[in-house]
Amino acid sequence: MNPGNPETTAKQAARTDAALVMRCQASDRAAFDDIVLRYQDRVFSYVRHLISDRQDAEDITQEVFIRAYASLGSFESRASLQTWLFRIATNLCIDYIRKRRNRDRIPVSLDKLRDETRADGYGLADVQDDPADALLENELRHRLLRGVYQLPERLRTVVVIHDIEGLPYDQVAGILRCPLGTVKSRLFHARMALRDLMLPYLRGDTDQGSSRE
Amino acid sequence: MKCERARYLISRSLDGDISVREMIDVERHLAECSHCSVVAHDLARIVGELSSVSEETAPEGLAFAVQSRIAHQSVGAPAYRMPVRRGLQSTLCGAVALIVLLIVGGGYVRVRTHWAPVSGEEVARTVDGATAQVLALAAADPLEDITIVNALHCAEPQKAKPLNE
Repeated sequence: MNPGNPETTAKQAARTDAALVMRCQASDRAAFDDIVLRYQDRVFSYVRHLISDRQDAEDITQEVFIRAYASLGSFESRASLQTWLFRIATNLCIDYIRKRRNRDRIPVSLDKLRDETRADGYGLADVQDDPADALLENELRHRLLRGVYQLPERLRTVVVIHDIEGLPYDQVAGILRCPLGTVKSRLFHARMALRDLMLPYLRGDTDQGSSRE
Repeated sequence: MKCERARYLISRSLDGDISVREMIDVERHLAECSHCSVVAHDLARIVGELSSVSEETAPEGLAFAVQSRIAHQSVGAPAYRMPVRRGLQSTLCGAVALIVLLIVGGGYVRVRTHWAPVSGEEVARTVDGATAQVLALAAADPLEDITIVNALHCAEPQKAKPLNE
């Protein structure tokens, strides 16, 4: 099987997306169904990595496509379809996170997050007595994803879009509508915040002493 | 180079976003700073783990749920928690229409427990029967609120409309 040139594949996908959008704007309902089928996994995956509650993530994903359908008439193809859908998803997720925070009084202070994560303050699985013993690939990844859920939304979105979903800086900037420099800065701070949260689970595989500063 | 700057460049280097000059400066710093060396290792580990997170698959029925909502053109409606099977849609519409007719007809009506659609004549018989029951009860018990009896006597009988399947 010839995987093809990634750049060529991306261009073909963009042409197909543009064709689908044009058909949608000409009231072709089946074209929008194709868009949903094409992007539902990607959008759901993105939302799911931002929102810890699976049911809420499903509801938000539905809402993304409903909003997209309602505003397809104004879509101008300057951004890619994925960027546009992710932008809608980001706004819905940020609204959700803020409402949830106000409702549940989830703190955004990283010091508090660090203390509460270590003390299982947010329903994490029981920590084994020695964090080094829990340093399995799956365990670290599981705890990392938990840590992502704890990040403030400005840092959470950038690390999910770039590090988990694998989109490049410029697409991140397009989705979040912020400068490239801001993307790089937030990504740095998000990663350092995650490192801070994961320190007990990272220490097991280094020979050096504590490096917390 | 200060540690904060070095760590920022380390983060960018993990994305391949660093010049040769910057990389040389970072490596020189790492050779002298054990703390930043540990940070570099930790960040690489974290980014590696995050990039290995697999894509989630959308739940079965999500596309259909979206299509259903669009078909009903209720953009502001709450999301469906369970997908609505096509075969039940017309039956549910019939059930809703039946309930509306019963309310309009007035009086106490016993609701059917199965979802089989009912004919207009059946609805009319049920409404008339229920109305007769209420009138009988009201007449039997003088303490009943006579406004109910008056309302039923004064209201014009509603014609049951045939259900559209």
